[in-house]
Amino acid sequence: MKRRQFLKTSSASALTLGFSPLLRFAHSPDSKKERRLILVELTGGNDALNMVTPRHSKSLRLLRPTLLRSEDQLIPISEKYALHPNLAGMLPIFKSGQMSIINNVGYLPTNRSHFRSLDIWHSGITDKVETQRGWVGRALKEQQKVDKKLDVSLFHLADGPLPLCFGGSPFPITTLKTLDDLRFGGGSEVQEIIRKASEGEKRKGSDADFLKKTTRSALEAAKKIGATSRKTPDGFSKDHFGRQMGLVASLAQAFRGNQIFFTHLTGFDTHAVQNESQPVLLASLSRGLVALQKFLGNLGFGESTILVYSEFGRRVKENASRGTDHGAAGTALLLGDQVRGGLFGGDIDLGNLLAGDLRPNVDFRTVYQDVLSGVLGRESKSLKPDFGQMLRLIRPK
Amino acid sequence: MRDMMRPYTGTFGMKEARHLLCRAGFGATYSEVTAHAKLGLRDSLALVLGSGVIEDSRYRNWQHKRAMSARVAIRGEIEALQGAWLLSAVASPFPLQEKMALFWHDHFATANAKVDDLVAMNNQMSLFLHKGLGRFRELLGAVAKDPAMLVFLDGSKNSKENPNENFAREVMELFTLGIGHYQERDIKEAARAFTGWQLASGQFRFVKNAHDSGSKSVLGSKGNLGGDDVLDVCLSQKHNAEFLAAKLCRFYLGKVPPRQQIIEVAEALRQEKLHMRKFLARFFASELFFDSAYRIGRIKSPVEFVVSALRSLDAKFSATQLAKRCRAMGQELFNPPGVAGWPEGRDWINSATIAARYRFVTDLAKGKDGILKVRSKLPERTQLDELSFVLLGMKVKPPRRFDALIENAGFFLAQPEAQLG
Repeated sequence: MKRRQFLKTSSASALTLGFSPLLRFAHSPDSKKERRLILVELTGGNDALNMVTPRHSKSLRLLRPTLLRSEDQLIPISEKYALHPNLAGMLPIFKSGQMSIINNVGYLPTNRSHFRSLDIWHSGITDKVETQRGWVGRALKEQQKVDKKLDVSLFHLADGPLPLCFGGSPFPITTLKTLDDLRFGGGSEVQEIIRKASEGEKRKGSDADFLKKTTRSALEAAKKIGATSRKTPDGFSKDHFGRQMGLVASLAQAFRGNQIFFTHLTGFDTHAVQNESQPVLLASLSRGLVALQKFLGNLGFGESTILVYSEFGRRVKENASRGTDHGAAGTALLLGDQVRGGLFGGDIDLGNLLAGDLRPNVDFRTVYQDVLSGVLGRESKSLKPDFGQMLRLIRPK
Repeated sequence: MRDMMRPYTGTFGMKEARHLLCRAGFGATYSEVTAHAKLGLRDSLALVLGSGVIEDSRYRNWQHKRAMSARVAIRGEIEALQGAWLLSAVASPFPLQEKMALFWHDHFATANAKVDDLVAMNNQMSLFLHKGLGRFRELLGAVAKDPAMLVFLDGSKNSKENPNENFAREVMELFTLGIGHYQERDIKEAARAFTGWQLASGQFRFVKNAHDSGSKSVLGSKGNLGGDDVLDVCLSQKHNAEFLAAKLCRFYLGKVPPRQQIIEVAEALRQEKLHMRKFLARFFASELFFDSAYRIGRIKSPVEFVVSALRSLDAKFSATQLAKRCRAMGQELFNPPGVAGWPEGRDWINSATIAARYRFVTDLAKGKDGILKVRSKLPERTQLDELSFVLLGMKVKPPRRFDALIENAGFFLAQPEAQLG
């Protein structure tokens, strides 16, 4: 514990002391090194207080008589905070310094509509409605201007239409739920026919052109996957989230190069009997993240960062249906070898609520900027946090 | 461009006949297109609108597929039900009926994922098939009381103490007017008017003592309004015709035309008192419909793609396989993704769904196990140009002439233009 504190506050002296964990990062980053970003959206508004809970809090016990677990059930991670029992699998990851927990993340002014809030988190814009381009898409476009050789594969593994965060991306997005989804069928002659038919460009911007582009990138993706085993790697559960994590694993292995994945877990909108559903989701989350973190660690190439977030947290006081209603600030998680590890965002202050909700102290865009600097090497000009300081969640290289 | 709803006076040849049969149905074989072109627009349109004599065996085949739907619905087999619908669309001698039912299925989107009752879902589909070409007010009234719809929009418990705003909102937002053409207070008042509209033993029932019979004000109309009165009020709004016109144009033209044309189409709808068959008789014979801006460039939905491929080739395919393929392409009949219905145009297309479309094509061309081969054959010297025309609307030369008819068809279906119709 003490050692890690020391490392966090005085990296310069730690370097000279030559502690082995830092030696890995003392070299300048290899520009050819693959980097992966895995976005995990907890859709519906995750009750962060039930995920990372203040310990021994009398006021919380009064406000959540049925929802708050008893102290002996919670898993302490520090003097002040504990994890939900179903996240027990993630404790070793936190202890080894590979997980950052960022409390009090959100934006102002708060908005309790799922649609509006998701659009804000995806676009990175709070002061107007943006429906076309997202924070990832814009950042990639900026980076491409500076680094012409930049090449990133984007993967949409969740349900529903293309996520807004990818909007405006200069790189194609591959959508799939299983490796089989990209199978074109037919032998090599047929594939050649399809490939030839999708070449060229008749009228730029036309539907035919759009169809050809999509077919070409799907064929390319199918080719890269082609040689990969169709069997899901070991260690991943068969539930909805486990399947997505297993697919990230397969794709990370099959595709060399930089990758960004969008995945999700739905069902967090727990207005009633929260303890019947949220714990199950948290268990699924924990299993999936632990399995993926382990797989990527063993892969031997590439550097992965996992960002877990939700569109808002939930109200501190439980409601009459033993659930919680839409709130404001929540908790984000960042996992990976290069994260600084620990607790960030300041204390969860139940004495300084914003109309009964946790007050956002960390603008979500500062988290995005940290992630972008770690994955792309630079922050995005188009993400302008309104408040809060940069947290420096990624270790300097 | 003024008065685009005026009657079309241009050529009605092979291209025009193909355009009509693709949009007002699910495409046709080369001989069918030829026959329609020979008839001329007026008589061709009459057939399309259902006023022809249907040959016995064709009719029986079609009705047999419809009867199958009812049987598999009772057994609760959704894939079989989807497959039966798809095959009846392939077999239909009056495909405008199925095409319009598909339009209403999207407009009045109801998902079995919530309803969980295939008999009710199939009954709702029957409403779309049998009332879809009649007066909109009649269809709307029937759908508003349809058991599957009531379950889907939580209309089953709707009392004066607890009016159902969800139902009132969808009636205005999705079925008749669209966002921005009503106020929140109209919804609250309309919800009061719909109180008493309940579901009992799987049927609609009006429960009088659950009904709020006080005076209400909805969209400017005041009085002791009941649910049917609210439907009348919604349809009397000027914007209603424009709302429906835009949706019909999007569906039948592939894109929403300029505002001036929407106004003209809306006016035609009003003149025909929202009678769909009468309106379509004018619409499909208009300058707008045959304008070059709206030919070919319309991405087919999965259902349209598979049904038109099989119709044009007069081919067979396993019912449940067809349902599985449509699902992989992103469309599950009787189970749209939400109240807003299905995607449109380019939103149908992503890497997974385009690969699924190609898998269908390659399997069809291979005559894969469980999938029956093409029934009818062209003359010995395969007329590739005819096949190309009917599947793509233009001439494309294959690199070589394949041995089997269906392989040649596979080549054409592999062209990106096969997705447009």
